[in-house]
Amino acid sequence: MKEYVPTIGLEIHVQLKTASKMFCRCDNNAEGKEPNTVVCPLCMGFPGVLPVVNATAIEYGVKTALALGCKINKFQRFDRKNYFYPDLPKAYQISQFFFPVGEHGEITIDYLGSDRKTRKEFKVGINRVHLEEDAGKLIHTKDATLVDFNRCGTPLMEIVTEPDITSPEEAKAFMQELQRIVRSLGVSFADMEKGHLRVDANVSVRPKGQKKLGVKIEVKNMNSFKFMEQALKHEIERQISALEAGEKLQQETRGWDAKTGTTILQRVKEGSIDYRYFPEPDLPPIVLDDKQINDWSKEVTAELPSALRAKAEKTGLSYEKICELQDKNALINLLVILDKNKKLDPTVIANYPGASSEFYKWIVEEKPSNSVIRQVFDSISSGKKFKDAVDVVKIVDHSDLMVMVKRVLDANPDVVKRYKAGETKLIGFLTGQIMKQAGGGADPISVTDLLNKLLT
Amino acid sequence: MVWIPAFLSAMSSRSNGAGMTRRELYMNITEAKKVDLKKFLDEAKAADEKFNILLSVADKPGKLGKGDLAVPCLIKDNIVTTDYPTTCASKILEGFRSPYEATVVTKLKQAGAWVAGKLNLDEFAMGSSTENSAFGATKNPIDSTRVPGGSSGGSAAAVAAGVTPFSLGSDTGGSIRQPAAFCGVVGMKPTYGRVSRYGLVAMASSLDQIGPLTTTVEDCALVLKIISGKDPLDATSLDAPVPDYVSEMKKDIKGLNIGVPKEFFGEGVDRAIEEKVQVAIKELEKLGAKIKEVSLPNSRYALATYYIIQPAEVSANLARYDGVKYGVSEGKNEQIETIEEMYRQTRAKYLGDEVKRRIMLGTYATSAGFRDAYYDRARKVATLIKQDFDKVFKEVDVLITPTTPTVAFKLGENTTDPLKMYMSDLLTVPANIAGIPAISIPCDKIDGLPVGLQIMGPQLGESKVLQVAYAYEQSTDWRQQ
Repeated sequence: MKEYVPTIGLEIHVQLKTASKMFCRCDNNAEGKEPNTVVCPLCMGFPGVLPVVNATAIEYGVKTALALGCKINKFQRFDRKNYFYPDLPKAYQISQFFFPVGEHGEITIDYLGSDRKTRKEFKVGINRVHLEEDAGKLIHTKDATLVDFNRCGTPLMEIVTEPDITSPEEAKAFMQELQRIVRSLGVSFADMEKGHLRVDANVSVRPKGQKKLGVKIEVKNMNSFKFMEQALKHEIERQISALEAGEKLQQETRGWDAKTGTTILQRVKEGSIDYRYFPEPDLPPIVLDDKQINDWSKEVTAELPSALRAKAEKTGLSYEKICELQDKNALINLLVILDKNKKLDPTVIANYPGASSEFYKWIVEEKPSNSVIRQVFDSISSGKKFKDAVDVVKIVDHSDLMVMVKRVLDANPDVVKRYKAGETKLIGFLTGQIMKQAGGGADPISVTDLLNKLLT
Repeated sequence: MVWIPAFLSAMSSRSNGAGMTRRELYMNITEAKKVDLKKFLDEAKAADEKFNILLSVADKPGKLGKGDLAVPCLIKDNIVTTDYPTTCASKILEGFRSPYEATVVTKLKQAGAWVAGKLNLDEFAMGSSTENSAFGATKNPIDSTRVPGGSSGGSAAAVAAGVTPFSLGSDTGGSIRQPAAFCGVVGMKPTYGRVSRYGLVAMASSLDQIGPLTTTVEDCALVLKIISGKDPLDATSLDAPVPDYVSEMKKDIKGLNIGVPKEFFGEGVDRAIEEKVQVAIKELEKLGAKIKEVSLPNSRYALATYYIIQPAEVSANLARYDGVKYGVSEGKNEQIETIEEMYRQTRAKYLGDEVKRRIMLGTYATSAGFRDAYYDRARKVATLIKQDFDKVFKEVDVLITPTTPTVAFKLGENTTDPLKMYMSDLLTVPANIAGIPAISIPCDKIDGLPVGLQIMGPQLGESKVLQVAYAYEQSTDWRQQ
């Protein structure tokens, strides 16, 4: 069998979390609302209505484009994308075709390989980032198809990557990083399951060494990172085995079916649809000024997830740990703490993210052992107040512990004898005895340390 | 008890008013110091019997508010109202009632006016004779065998018939000025963005503009002042102060530079009309204006440009009438199985021929492979046309031309020849392409049929346009004949 190289390009839709919709003042949060209750004449395309651009949506678009290394178009204009569909009330979608928010971007994605250890890196070109309005939803019932216009006019940001992604693993890493970016910029909730973040992929395979790309097949309906990875894996394998079997692939759209774990043919592409784009006459172009773009650029740079990881790597933390903390949303906090308390050991603190500042101060000042820190951290995490948590471990300080250990050894001469004769597992029994006496207030590792010292 | 000083002053200078009804209306205002709204409605309905002016009308007298415009009025039926249906003279919107009202309607109400009904037009404002109305053609009150012009034919006819002190129309390529000229009334298309389009059912969004039709220039200035201004609901509305047009227009025109663009005379324009306009120009010269011949070389491409850009926007603006959300629909037709078929049948059945013609033209002009040659090129030519005007307005204050190449034509005369019909907008279209203000005022008659004099000004130059129009109107008495 030949070796094949997959090529993947992504087309992503990100729902922006502005307060109002893209071109009208309707509430932008229609989640869980009755159909057609979060609508107005404007987003329902009534005769005579006119759109007005939501300035925050432009800001969010520009910030995201900046984060993706795009060149920002200072001249922002909207166009009409014309097509008939019942969920599109105006029969045209207001979108940016000729002048997207940003273009020609590139982003370096660093991520933890699937072995959960290796740091990997790859670059993805960004073709364009543009803004547009969402359409409504069709609800198919037994007797009829109904339209819910609630989602009409929700601001969407479309991101189109270059076909630079070479594996499902990379595709997933890209999407996860994108999710972190839009969340840290505060532009989207970016919940894939809720449709805030939607991704379609264009997948092709070609024999290794061949320059010409294979036939591009679009995969849709991947509404989680897991499904995306599975769908892409499956699709690549499907294409390879088809080619190996001598079949010819055709341009088509396939949908991921989680039940069968396969992609299913939805439609064959017959030429491209002519959307007859032309400038939206109802919206005068917006010209952004350099100062505004620079200010946004500074804000964005400070918040980039990759910048945070780089900063964390300088503290000596392992890449694996950094990724783990970032996934838990704890990395920013940790970096702030380390900034404030230079004496803290990052590798120790990395295990205890998200506690109060007195907790970290206590670590610096009291230098407690790891197990004591863990114990206090755990009690705080389970809801105890910091002061109470510390009081519990304080019952037994080091000198008290020495007395206690000696007392237990004196009371168990036989055990000591057997231990010294080689039954080393009895140290567990002794530790248990000491812990019992200390009423849980002792640190088991310190106890074992002391025992080891006294018994040799 | 409220009334409009402007209407009154207009009245007092009118010794033998054009129509008894209008005169009676004004007499009511002056003598009883209140308008008899019942009488107003009766007369409007009577005129409608004769000329087919109304598409909807109040069933009982409404209320006038307080303000500078506390009179009843009628507006074109492509401006949405909550009190009446808005049909755009199309079967597809028959009985449609808007859930909101247009900004201009709100402004009229705030100024005390009562909108008493809606006026006939060419379907979706596409036409130059009002013969494209799905609800029958309007007749010209001056000669009921002739068209009132269009698309604001109902608006012009209602003023000419004397049933309303003023009306509102919309002008995309001449739809206020051309019917004003045909019916012998004053009609103004303001600067693009001067008046909010919010609630004006879009025909060609980059060209549409609402404006007043009145008996006198002063009334026009007053109504314009009321409806002008920035509207947060219309992103294309201009954020510029609204001058007091009524006092501005009364300034002396001595020393004002008036340009006569040579391209608006000669080929395609009736000789008799040209002569009347030349006399008017002489009159303005007598009043102290300096006359200068100027050139707008690219204006000769204006009509061709217009018939690309306008249908292009039409094709998108009218796509929403698909039978899904509102208006008339074939959606319940059991014979229809697919959504595409429902779209097709709804649109085929309920849209008129001219509307379909423009949708097809516009779809073609914006299609892949043709857009470069048509739509994109038309936009470039539009820029050149605009630049011509910018340049000329560095030399002159206003431009003067005939409004139309002919007087009102006979009903049915041009219905089989769309190109001939389109030619009717030859002289009015350039102002829409350039986005500048333009007025048409009565200027003599030919065989009893009114001739329109068009005055165009630079962007936001409404005051100057009104100033020249007023000076001319005051020095002549065509209005009174």
